[in-house]
Amino acid sequence: MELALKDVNGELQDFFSFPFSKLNSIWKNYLDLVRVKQENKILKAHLSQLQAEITTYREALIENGRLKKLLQIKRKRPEKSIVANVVGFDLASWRAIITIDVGKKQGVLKDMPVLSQGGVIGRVIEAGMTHSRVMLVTDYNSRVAAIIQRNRARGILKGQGRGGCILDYVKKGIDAQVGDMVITSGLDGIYPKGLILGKIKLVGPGDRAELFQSILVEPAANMDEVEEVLVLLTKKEER
Amino acid sequence: MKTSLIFLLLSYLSLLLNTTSQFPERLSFLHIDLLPALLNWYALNEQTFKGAFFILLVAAISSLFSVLPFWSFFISYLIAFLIIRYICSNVLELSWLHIHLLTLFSSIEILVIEMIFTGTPELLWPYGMTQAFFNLLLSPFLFFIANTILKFKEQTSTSSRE
Repeated sequence: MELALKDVNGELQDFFSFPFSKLNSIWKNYLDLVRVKQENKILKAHLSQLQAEITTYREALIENGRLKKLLQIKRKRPEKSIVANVVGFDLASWRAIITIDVGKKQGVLKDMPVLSQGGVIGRVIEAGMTHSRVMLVTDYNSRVAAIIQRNRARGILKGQGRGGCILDYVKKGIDAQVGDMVITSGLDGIYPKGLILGKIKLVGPGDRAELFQSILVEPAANMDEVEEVLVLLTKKEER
Repeated sequence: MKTSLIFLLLSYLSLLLNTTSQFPERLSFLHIDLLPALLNWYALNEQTFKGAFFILLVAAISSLFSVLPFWSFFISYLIAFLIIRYICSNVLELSWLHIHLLTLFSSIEILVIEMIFTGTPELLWPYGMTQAFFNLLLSPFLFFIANTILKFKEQTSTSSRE
Protein backbone atom coordinates (compact mmCIF):
# COMPACT_ATOMS: atom_id res chain seq x y z
CA MET A 1 0.00 0.00 0.00
CA GLU A 2 2.76 2.38 1.00
CA LEU A 3 4.69 1.54 -2.12
CA ALA A 4 1.65 2.15 -4.26
CA LEU A 5 1.15 5.55 -2.64
CA LYS A 6 4.81 6.34 -3.22
CA ASP A 7 4.39 5.44 -6.87
CA VAL A 8 1.38 7.75 -7.20
CA ASN A 9 3.34 10.45 -5.39
CA GLY A 10 6.23 9.91 -7.79
CA GLU A 11 3.89 10.24 -10.79
CA LEU A 12 2.48 13.49 -9.36
CA GLN A 13 5.98 14.78 -8.68
CA ASP A 14 6.89 13.90 -12.22
CA PHE A 15 3.80 15.73 -13.49
CA PHE A 16 4.49 18.86 -11.44
CA SER A 17 8.21 18.91 -12.11
CA PHE A 18 7.66 18.84 -15.90
CA PRO A 19 6.82 22.58 -16.30
CA PHE A 20 9.63 23.53 -13.92
CA SER A 21 12.20 21.44 -15.79
CA LYS A 22 10.90 22.93 -19.06
CA LEU A 23 11.19 26.44 -17.63
CA ASN A 24 14.64 25.60 -16.39
CA SER A 25 15.77 24.41 -19.81
CA ILE A 26 14.24 27.51 -21.46
CA TRP A 27 16.11 29.72 -19.01
CA LYS A 28 19.32 27.79 -19.67
CA ASN A 29 18.81 28.15 -23.41
CA TYR A 30 18.19 31.84 -22.94
CA LEU A 31 21.43 32.24 -20.96
CA ASP A 32 23.27 30.24 -23.62
CA LEU A 33 21.82 32.51 -26.29
CA VAL A 34 22.95 35.60 -24.41
CA ARG A 35 26.43 34.12 -24.11
CA VAL A 36 26.44 33.14 -27.78
CA LYS A 37 25.32 36.64 -28.69
CA GLN A 38 28.17 38.15 -26.72
CA GLU A 39 30.64 35.67 -28.22
CA ASN A 40 29.26 36.43 -31.66
CA LYS A 41 29.81 40.12 -31.08
CA ILE A 42 33.42 39.55 -30.02
CA LEU A 43 34.06 37.17 -32.92
CA LYS A 44 32.56 39.63 -35.38
CA ALA A 45 34.85 42.34 -34.06
CA HIS A 46 37.81 39.94 -34.43
CA LEU A 47 36.71 39.05 -37.94
CA SER A 48 36.45 42.65 -39.08
CA GLN A 49 39.86 43.34 -37.53
CA LEU A 50 41.33 40.35 -39.37
CA GLN A 51 39.66 41.41 -42.59
CA ALA A 52 41.16 44.87 -42.24
CA GLU A 53 44.57 43.29 -41.65
CA ILE A 54 44.17 41.01 -44.68
CA THR A 55 43.21 44.04 -46.81
CA THR A 56 46.29 45.89 -45.58
CA TYR A 57 48.56 42.93 -46.37
CA ARG A 58 46.94 42.40 -49.75
CA GLU A 59 47.32 46.11 -50.54
CA ALA A 60 50.99 45.95 -49.50
CA LEU A 61 51.48 42.89 -51.71
CA ILE A 62 49.92 44.60 -54.74
CA GLU A 63 51.91 47.78 -54.09
CA ASN A 64 55.05 45.68 -53.79
CA GLY A 65 54.36 44.14 -57.21
CA ARG A 66 53.86 47.55 -58.79
CA LEU A 67 57.01 48.97 -57.18
CA LYS A 68 59.04 45.92 -58.29
CA LYS A 69 58.00 46.59 -61.89
CA LEU A 70 58.94 50.26 -61.52
CA LEU A 71 62.27 49.22 -60.02
CA GLN A 72 62.96 47.03 -63.05
CA ILE A 73 62.41 50.04 -65.33
CA LYS A 74 64.53 52.19 -63.02
CA ARG A 75 67.42 49.70 -63.26
CA LYS A 76 67.19 49.52 -67.04
CA ARG A 77 67.26 53.29 -67.57
CA PRO A 78 70.62 55.05 -67.62
CA GLU A 79 69.14 58.32 -66.25
CA LYS A 80 68.57 59.01 -62.59
CA SER A 81 64.95 58.61 -61.59
CA ILE A 82 62.63 59.01 -58.64
CA VAL A 83 59.45 57.15 -57.63
CA ALA A 84 56.41 59.29 -56.84
CA ASN A 85 52.83 58.71 -55.72
CA VAL A 86 49.81 60.09 -57.50
CA VAL A 87 48.03 62.31 -54.98
CA GLY A 88 45.37 64.10 -57.00
CA PHE A 89 43.82 65.17 -60.26
CA ASP A 90 43.28 68.50 -61.91
CA LEU A 91 40.19 70.52 -61.09
CA ALA A 92 39.40 70.63 -64.79
CA SER A 93 38.52 66.96 -64.77
CA TRP A 94 38.31 66.64 -68.55
CA ARG A 95 42.05 67.36 -68.66
CA ALA A 96 44.28 64.33 -68.15
CA ILE A 97 46.50 65.94 -65.54
CA ILE A 98 47.64 64.38 -62.27
CA THR A 99 49.47 65.69 -59.23
CA ILE A 100 52.46 63.76 -57.87
CA ASP A 101 54.19 64.12 -54.51
CA VAL A 102 57.68 65.11 -55.70
CA GLY A 103 58.94 68.53 -56.79
CA LYS A 104 61.99 70.72 -57.20
CA LYS A 105 63.25 69.63 -53.77
CA GLN A 106 63.69 66.12 -55.15
CA GLY A 107 65.19 67.41 -58.41
CA VAL A 108 62.04 67.35 -60.53
CA LEU A 109 61.86 70.01 -63.24
CA LYS A 110 59.45 70.99 -66.00
CA ASP A 111 59.36 68.71 -69.06
CA MET A 112 60.81 65.67 -67.34
CA PRO A 113 59.31 62.41 -68.65
CA VAL A 114 57.12 60.34 -66.36
CA LEU A 115 56.77 56.57 -66.69
CA SER A 116 54.65 53.86 -65.12
CA GLN A 117 55.01 50.09 -65.17
CA GLY A 118 53.66 49.90 -68.72
CA GLY A 119 55.59 52.74 -70.33
CA VAL A 120 55.39 56.50 -70.79
CA ILE A 121 52.45 58.19 -69.13
CA GLY A 122 53.32 61.87 -69.60
CA ARG A 123 55.60 64.73 -68.70
CA VAL A 124 55.94 67.26 -65.90
CA ILE A 125 54.29 70.54 -66.88
CA GLU A 126 54.54 72.36 -63.55
CA ALA A 127 57.06 71.67 -60.81
CA GLY A 128 56.45 73.08 -57.35
CA MET A 129 58.79 72.63 -54.38
CA THR A 130 57.17 69.45 -53.10
CA HIS A 131 54.51 68.57 -55.68
CA SER A 132 54.35 68.59 -59.48
CA ARG A 133 51.71 68.40 -62.17
CA VAL A 134 51.99 65.80 -64.90
CA MET A 135 50.20 66.04 -68.24
CA LEU A 136 49.33 62.53 -69.37
CA VAL A 137 49.81 61.46 -72.98
CA THR A 138 46.04 61.08 -73.27
CA ASP A 139 45.44 64.80 -72.60
CA TYR A 140 43.99 66.73 -75.52
CA ASN A 141 46.96 69.10 -75.46
CA SER A 142 49.62 66.38 -75.35
CA ARG A 143 51.91 65.80 -78.35
CA VAL A 144 54.73 63.25 -78.39
CA ALA A 145 57.17 62.54 -81.24
CA ALA A 146 56.73 58.83 -81.92
CA ILE A 147 57.76 56.03 -84.26
CA ILE A 148 56.27 52.67 -85.06
CA GLN A 149 58.85 50.23 -83.74
CA ARG A 150 58.55 47.65 -86.56
CA ASN A 151 58.99 49.89 -89.59
CA ARG A 152 60.38 53.09 -88.00
CA ALA A 153 57.59 55.22 -89.50
CA ARG A 154 57.45 58.60 -87.79
CA GLY A 155 54.38 60.33 -86.45
CA ILE A 156 53.03 62.51 -83.68
CA LEU A 157 51.09 60.90 -80.85
CA LYS A 158 48.15 63.13 -79.92
CA GLY A 159 46.04 62.72 -76.79
CA GLN A 160 42.34 62.00 -77.21
CA GLY A 161 41.13 62.04 -73.61
CA ARG A 162 39.26 58.89 -72.68
CA GLY A 163 39.58 57.63 -76.24
CA GLY A 164 43.32 57.00 -75.85
CA CYS A 165 45.67 58.53 -78.43
CA ILE A 166 45.98 58.87 -82.18
CA LEU A 167 49.18 58.56 -84.15
CA ASP A 168 49.02 61.39 -86.63
CA TYR A 169 51.11 62.31 -89.68
CA VAL A 170 51.86 58.71 -90.71
CA LYS A 171 51.73 58.78 -94.51
CA LYS A 172 49.27 56.65 -96.40
CA GLY A 173 50.98 53.63 -97.89
CA ILE A 174 53.14 53.01 -94.85
CA ASP A 175 52.42 49.58 -93.45
CA ALA A 176 50.99 50.10 -89.99
CA GLN A 177 49.36 47.06 -88.40
CA VAL A 178 47.20 46.47 -85.37
CA GLY A 179 49.43 45.37 -82.49
CA ASP A 180 52.52 47.30 -83.65
CA MET A 181 54.37 48.93 -80.79
CA VAL A 182 54.63 52.72 -80.80
CA ILE A 183 57.71 54.14 -79.07
CA THR A 184 59.17 57.60 -78.50
CA SER A 185 61.46 58.87 -81.25
CA GLY A 186 63.34 61.34 -79.05
CA LEU A 187 62.89 64.10 -81.65
CA ASP A 188 60.79 66.31 -79.38
CA GLY A 189 63.67 66.83 -76.98
CA ILE A 190 61.49 65.82 -74.03
CA TYR A 191 61.21 62.04 -74.06
CA PRO A 192 64.34 59.90 -74.50
CA LYS A 193 64.27 57.61 -77.54
CA GLY A 194 62.82 54.11 -77.26
CA LEU A 195 60.30 54.44 -74.45
CA ILE A 196 57.08 52.47 -74.95
CA LEU A 197 54.05 54.65 -75.66
CA GLY A 198 51.48 52.04 -76.58
CA LYS A 199 50.14 49.60 -79.13
CA ILE A 200 48.26 50.30 -82.36
CA LYS A 201 44.64 49.40 -81.73
CA LEU A 202 43.02 50.38 -85.00
CA VAL A 203 44.23 51.47 -88.43
CA GLY A 204 41.59 53.35 -90.35
CA PRO A 205 41.66 54.12 -94.04
CA GLY A 206 41.42 57.84 -93.35
CA ASP A 207 39.82 60.35 -95.65
CA ARG A 208 40.62 60.07 -99.37
CA ALA A 209 41.61 63.68 -99.48
CA GLU A 210 43.89 63.24 -96.49
CA LEU A 211 47.55 62.42 -96.88
CA PHE A 212 47.85 60.56 -93.61
CA GLN A 213 46.42 57.45 -92.03
CA SER A 214 44.21 57.56 -88.95
CA ILE A 215 45.81 55.30 -86.38
CA LEU A 216 44.34 54.74 -82.94
CA VAL A 217 46.84 53.88 -80.22
CA GLU A 218 46.10 52.26 -76.88
CA PRO A 219 48.43 53.77 -74.25
CA ALA A 220 50.83 51.36 -72.58
CA ALA A 221 49.54 52.23 -69.13
CA ASN A 222 45.97 52.41 -67.90
CA MET A 223 45.81 56.07 -66.95
CA ASP A 224 42.89 55.57 -64.56
CA GLU A 225 44.80 53.05 -62.48
CA VAL A 226 48.18 54.75 -62.16
CA GLU A 227 49.16 55.04 -58.49
CA GLU A 228 52.96 55.17 -58.54
CA VAL A 229 55.08 56.72 -61.25
CA LEU A 230 58.74 57.04 -62.11
CA VAL A 231 60.05 60.50 -62.98
CA LEU A 232 63.18 60.42 -65.15
CA LEU A 233 65.48 63.17 -63.86
CA THR A 234 66.89 63.91 -67.29
CA LYS A 235 68.81 67.07 -68.07
CA LYS A 236 67.74 68.92 -71.20
CA GLU A 237 70.99 68.15 -73.01
CA GLU A 238 70.62 64.42 -72.22
CA ARG A 239 67.28 64.14 -73.97
CA MET B 1 29.88 87.43 -43.24
CA LYS B 2 28.87 84.05 -41.83
CA THR B 3 27.48 83.00 -45.21
CA SER B 4 30.69 84.04 -46.93
CA LEU B 5 32.89 82.16 -44.46
CA ILE B 6 30.76 79.03 -44.85
CA PHE B 7 31.04 79.48 -48.62
CA LEU B 8 34.84 79.75 -48.41
CA LEU B 9 35.20 76.75 -46.12
CA LEU B 10 32.85 74.50 -48.10
CA SER B 11 34.46 75.61 -51.37
CA TYR B 12 37.85 74.51 -50.14
CA LEU B 13 36.51 71.16 -48.94
CA SER B 14 34.66 70.72 -52.22
CA LEU B 15 37.84 71.41 -54.20
CA LEU B 16 39.75 68.87 -52.13
CA LEU B 17 37.02 66.29 -52.68
CA ASN B 18 36.87 67.05 -56.40
CA THR B 19 40.60 66.64 -56.97
CA THR B 20 41.11 63.51 -54.90
CA SER B 21 38.02 61.38 -55.48
CA GLN B 22 37.65 59.17 -58.50
CA PHE B 23 34.86 56.90 -59.64
CA PRO B 24 35.52 53.39 -60.98
CA GLU B 25 36.82 52.95 -64.53
CA ARG B 26 33.75 53.55 -66.70
CA LEU B 27 32.60 56.52 -64.67
CA SER B 28 36.06 57.93 -64.06
CA PHE B 29 35.24 61.01 -66.14
CA LEU B 30 32.75 62.08 -63.45
CA HIS B 31 33.90 64.00 -60.42
CA ILE B 32 32.17 65.05 -57.22
CA ASP B 33 31.97 68.74 -58.06
CA LEU B 34 29.97 70.58 -55.40
CA LEU B 35 31.18 74.04 -56.37
CA PRO B 36 28.40 74.99 -58.84
CA ALA B 37 25.77 74.08 -56.24
CA LEU B 38 27.72 76.01 -53.63
CA LEU B 39 27.93 79.05 -55.91
CA ASN B 40 24.21 78.81 -56.44
CA TRP B 41 23.55 78.60 -52.69
CA TYR B 42 25.88 81.54 -52.09
CA ALA B 43 24.26 83.69 -54.77
CA LEU B 44 20.86 83.03 -53.20
CA ASN B 45 22.11 84.04 -49.75
CA GLU B 46 24.55 86.91 -50.25
CA GLN B 47 24.62 90.50 -51.53
CA THR B 48 26.11 91.17 -54.95
CA PHE B 49 29.19 93.28 -54.15
CA LYS B 50 30.29 91.44 -51.05
CA GLY B 51 29.65 88.19 -52.86
CA ALA B 52 31.80 89.19 -55.84
CA PHE B 53 34.77 89.71 -53.54
CA PHE B 54 34.48 86.22 -52.08
CA ILE B 55 34.02 84.78 -55.57
CA LEU B 56 37.41 86.31 -56.35
CA LEU B 57 38.92 84.53 -53.35
CA VAL B 58 37.38 81.17 -54.29
CA ALA B 59 38.62 81.59 -57.87
CA ALA B 60 42.12 82.17 -56.50
CA ILE B 61 41.86 79.02 -54.37
CA SER B 62 40.51 77.04 -57.34
CA SER B 63 43.48 78.03 -59.49
CA LEU B 64 45.75 76.35 -56.92
CA PHE B 65 44.14 73.04 -57.82
CA SER B 66 44.48 73.37 -61.56
CA VAL B 67 46.73 74.28 -64.45
CA LEU B 68 43.97 76.54 -65.78
CA PRO B 69 44.56 80.28 -65.31
CA PHE B 70 42.99 82.15 -62.41
CA TRP B 71 40.92 84.30 -64.79
CA SER B 72 39.11 81.32 -66.25
CA PHE B 73 37.79 80.46 -62.79
CA PHE B 74 37.04 84.04 -61.82
CA ILE B 75 35.13 84.84 -65.02
CA SER B 76 33.14 81.61 -65.00
CA TYR B 77 32.22 81.82 -61.30
CA LEU B 78 31.41 85.53 -61.42
CA ILE B 79 29.12 85.21 -64.43
CA ALA B 80 27.23 82.35 -62.77
CA PHE B 81 26.98 84.32 -59.52
CA LEU B 82 25.76 87.54 -61.17
CA ILE B 83 23.17 85.79 -63.33
CA ILE B 84 21.74 83.94 -60.33
CA ARG B 85 21.69 87.23 -58.36
CA TYR B 86 19.87 88.86 -61.27
CA ILE B 87 17.32 86.03 -61.40
CA CYS B 88 16.83 86.27 -57.61
CA SER B 89 16.15 89.98 -57.71
CA ASN B 90 13.67 89.68 -60.60
CA VAL B 91 11.76 86.53 -59.74
CA LEU B 92 9.38 86.83 -56.80
CA GLU B 93 9.68 83.32 -55.51
CA LEU B 94 11.91 80.48 -56.64
CA SER B 95 10.54 76.98 -56.15
CA TRP B 96 12.69 74.08 -54.91
CA LEU B 97 13.02 72.77 -58.45
CA HIS B 98 13.99 76.18 -59.86
CA ILE B 99 16.71 76.58 -57.26
CA HIS B 100 18.33 73.28 -58.19
CA LEU B 101 17.90 73.88 -61.91
CA LEU B 102 20.02 76.97 -61.37
CA THR B 103 22.81 74.59 -60.27
CA LEU B 104 22.48 72.83 -63.61
CA PHE B 105 22.67 76.16 -65.39
CA SER B 106 25.74 77.35 -63.44
CA SER B 107 27.47 73.98 -63.99
CA ILE B 108 27.03 74.24 -67.75
CA GLU B 109 28.12 77.88 -67.78
CA ILE B 110 31.28 77.17 -65.73
CA LEU B 111 32.18 74.13 -67.84
CA VAL B 112 31.68 76.01 -71.11
CA ILE B 113 33.96 78.88 -70.10
CA GLU B 114 36.66 76.63 -68.66
CA MET B 115 36.55 74.30 -71.66
CA ILE B 116 36.95 77.29 -73.95
CA PHE B 117 40.01 78.29 -71.93
CA THR B 118 41.50 74.79 -72.39
CA GLY B 119 40.65 74.80 -76.10
CA THR B 120 38.29 71.83 -75.89
CA PRO B 121 34.71 73.22 -76.01
CA GLU B 122 33.61 70.17 -78.03
CA LEU B 123 33.80 68.13 -74.81
CA LEU B 124 30.64 69.78 -73.54
CA TRP B 125 28.72 66.92 -75.11
CA PRO B 126 28.53 64.29 -73.73
CA TYR B 127 31.10 64.82 -70.95
CA GLY B 128 30.15 68.30 -69.77
CA MET B 129 26.41 67.71 -69.82
CA THR B 130 26.74 64.43 -67.89
CA GLN B 131 28.83 66.19 -65.27
CA ALA B 132 26.30 69.06 -65.09
CA PHE B 133 23.40 66.65 -64.52
CA PHE B 134 25.46 64.85 -61.89
CA ASN B 135 26.04 68.21 -60.19
CA LEU B 136 22.27 68.76 -60.26
CA LEU B 137 21.81 65.48 -58.36
CA LEU B 138 24.32 66.61 -55.74
CA SER B 139 22.72 70.04 -55.37
CA PRO B 140 20.01 69.21 -52.75
CA PHE B 141 22.60 67.42 -50.65
CA LEU B 142 24.91 70.46 -50.71
CA PHE B 143 22.06 72.85 -49.94
CA PHE B 144 21.12 70.70 -46.96
CA ILE B 145 24.68 70.79 -45.58
CA ALA B 146 25.18 74.52 -46.19
CA ASN B 147 21.79 75.45 -44.70
CA THR B 148 22.37 73.25 -41.67
CA ILE B 149 25.76 74.87 -40.99
CA LEU B 150 24.26 78.34 -41.48
CA LYS B 151 21.39 77.56 -39.11
CA PHE B 152 23.77 76.15 -36.52
CA LYS B 153 25.99 79.24 -36.78
CA GLU B 154 23.02 81.57 -36.39
CA GLN B 155 21.71 79.64 -33.37
CA THR B 156 25.08 79.68 -31.64
CA SER B 157 25.55 83.40 -32.26
CA THR B 158 22.05 84.31 -30.92
CA SER B 159 22.53 82.13 -27.84
CA SER B 160 25.92 83.73 -27.15
CA ARG B 161 24.35 87.21 -27.50
CA GLU B 162 21.62 86.25 -25.01
